[in-house]
This record gives sequence, structure tokens and C-alpha cells, in this order.
Amino acid sequence: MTKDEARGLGWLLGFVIVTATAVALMTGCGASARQKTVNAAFVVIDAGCSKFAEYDLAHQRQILAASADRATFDAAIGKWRATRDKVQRDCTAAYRADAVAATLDNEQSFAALKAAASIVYDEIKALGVIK
Amino acid sequence: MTTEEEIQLVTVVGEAIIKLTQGLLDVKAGKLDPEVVLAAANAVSDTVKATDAAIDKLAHDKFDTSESP
Repeated sequence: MTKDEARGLGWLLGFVIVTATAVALMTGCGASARQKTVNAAFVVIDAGCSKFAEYDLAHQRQILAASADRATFDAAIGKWRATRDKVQRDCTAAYRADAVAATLDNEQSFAALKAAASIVYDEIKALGVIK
Repeated sequence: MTTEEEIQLVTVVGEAIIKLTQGLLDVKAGKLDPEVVLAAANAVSDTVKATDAAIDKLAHDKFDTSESP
């Protein structure tokens, strides 16, 4: 991922989250506004987690290229995959929260979705996938 | 198929699945179908698994294959 792409994705994620939250708050989280936010959250989660999957491939290739021997590779790839697995689990949790919110369409599921999406966003940002 | 070709395939398949789910969402253009969301989650999971398999094969080729004298 280039710096421009990362910057663009970061801007997109931030914009959609802030806009969607603002719309939901201004409209008192009515059913229609909430549903639009659930739809927008899917786009954000899918964009972030898909970009993370691309980053995972590129990062693993870098680890392999930088490793001179099997032991070095095993240690480095094991460390990265442990981190990657946690983010992937949180991505799955965010997708599921979105599916539940789309089905139930209530305040409780909506709050759970916002929390799950925020966790994924923070993790991907902390790893430097987005700025 | 070489490992490099497998890597390319992982990328192509991942992008195709992502476009498919986005396309389904566009077609729905209304209430989000939970099945589409779960399909997207599975697509990411499958891409990660394919990445691991491809990298492991590349690592095997690099470190575990001894050339005969």
C-alpha cells in the first residue's frame, strides 16, 4: 500500500465514521438513519479489513525477504501472525456486529457495532496500515 | 503453478470476492443483507489463510529445499 493509498483510506474511514455518527446523533438515531449508518459501517469495516488483508500479504513477503535463515523467519512470522490473528478476530467481530445490527435494528446492537468498528479502526491505525 | 503465481492468485481472488460483496451491497441498495456481511467476513478470513499457505510454501522453497551437489 502506498502512502497516498493509506492516507486516502484513513481519510475515508475517519470521514465515514464521523459523518455517520453525526447523522445518527442529529436525527436521534431513528430507524432509517440507524440503518444508513449500519450500511456505511459495513463499507468502512470491509474497506479497512480488506486493506489489512492486502497489507498482511505484503508484510509477510517482506519478512520472508528479510530473513536469512529458517529460525529467523519462524520467529518473525510467528510474532507477526499472532498480531495479525488478533486484528482478524476483531475484524470478524465487527462484521458480525454489523450483521446483527442490520438484523435487529435497535439501539443495543447499534452501540455494539460502533464499539467493534472503533476497535478495528484503532488496531489497523496502530499498525500503520492507515495513517 | 509456481508460488509467485499462487501469490498473484491470492490477490486476484481476494479482490474479486471484495468486489462481489460490494456489488451485492449495491444491488440491495437498501437494508443491508446480513448474509452479504458474513460473506465479506469469510472472504477476508479466506484471503488470510491463502496468504499463510502461499508464504509457507515460499519459505519452504527458500529454506528447506537443499540443492544436490
